Amino acid sequence: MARKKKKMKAVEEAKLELTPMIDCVFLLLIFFMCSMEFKKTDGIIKAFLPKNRGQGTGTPEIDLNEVRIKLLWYDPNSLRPTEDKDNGVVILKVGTKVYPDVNGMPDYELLYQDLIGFRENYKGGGEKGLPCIIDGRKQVPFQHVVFCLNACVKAKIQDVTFAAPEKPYN
Amino acid sequence: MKLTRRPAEEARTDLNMTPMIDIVFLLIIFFLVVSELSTLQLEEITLPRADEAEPIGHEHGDHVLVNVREDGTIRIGGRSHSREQLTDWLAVESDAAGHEASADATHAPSKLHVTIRAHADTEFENVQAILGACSENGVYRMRVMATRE
Repeated sequence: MARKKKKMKAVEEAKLELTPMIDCVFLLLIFFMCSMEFKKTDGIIKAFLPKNRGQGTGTPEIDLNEVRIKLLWYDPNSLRPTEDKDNGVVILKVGTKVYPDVNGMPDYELLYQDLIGFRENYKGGGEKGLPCIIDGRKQVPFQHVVFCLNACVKAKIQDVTFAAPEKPYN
Repeated sequence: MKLTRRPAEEARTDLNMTPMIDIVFLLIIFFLVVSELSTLQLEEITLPRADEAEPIGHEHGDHVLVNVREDGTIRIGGRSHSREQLTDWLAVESDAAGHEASADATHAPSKLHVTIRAHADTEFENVQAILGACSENGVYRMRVMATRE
C-alpha cells in the first residue's frame, strides 16, 4: 500500500497559474490602446504658400486693399527695432495702428475684430477675398505668428500668406 | 479492493487559454510598434496654442511632418536635418509625390503635403527656413500644427 501512494505523488501535475499574467497582459493592452488615443490632441491650421514660383515675368499685381500684419521685434527700453533675440518684445502693427498689450502680449482679440471689419469692407476682386500677409521678424517667437494666423482663420479670411524673410542686398 | 468511479458530471472542463494569450500578445506587440513609430514622427514639442485648430482627420495623398525644436533643430522621422539637407530631401519627396497638371511642367506645384510642427517659442526664422525650402521645391500645401489647450 505504501508503495502505491508514492507512485501517485510522482504523477501529480504541476499547474501554471495563468490568471495574474493574463491580468497584466490585459492591463498593458488597455494602456497601449488608451495612450494611442491621447496622441491625437494636436490640431492643425491650414496655410498655403502663394503659387507664383517662376511663373510670369510681368509686374505682380498688388492689391492695395491687402492687409499686412507686421510682427516687429523691438528693444523694450528704447522701443526701436533690435536684432538681439534674447532681449526684445513683440509689437503688432497693421498699417499705422499699433496694438496695445494685454497680459504681456499684443491684443490679438482686437486684431480679430479689426480683421472682420477689413473683410466686410473689402472692395477688391480677389477670388478668395481679402488677401492677408503675415510679416514677422525672424526673432519673433512662433507662437505670435500662430496667434495672427488663428485670428485670420477665425475672421474667415481665406487668402493668408507669409512674407518671405528679408535678405541683404548684394 | 473496490475502485470508485468519478461521476461524469464532475469531469473537469479545462479552458484552453493558449490561443487567447497568443492573440493578446500579438495585439500588444502591434500597439508597441505603432506607438514607437508615432513617437518617431512626433517629437516632444510644446505646440503653439490656437483655438481655431481643427482636429487631424484622415490624410489623403503624400504627407510629411517636419518638427522644429525650440533651438531650431529640424527633425524628420527621428533624424536631424540641416537646412540644406531639408531642401534636398524636400526636392526628392516632392518629385516622388508627383505634380499637379500645369501648362508650365517645370514649375508645376507638387502634390506633397507638408505639416510644420514647430515649438511655440522657436524663432520665426526657423519656420521661415522651412517655408522657403518648400517654396523652392514647389510645395505649397502647408499646414501648421497647434494645440487647442
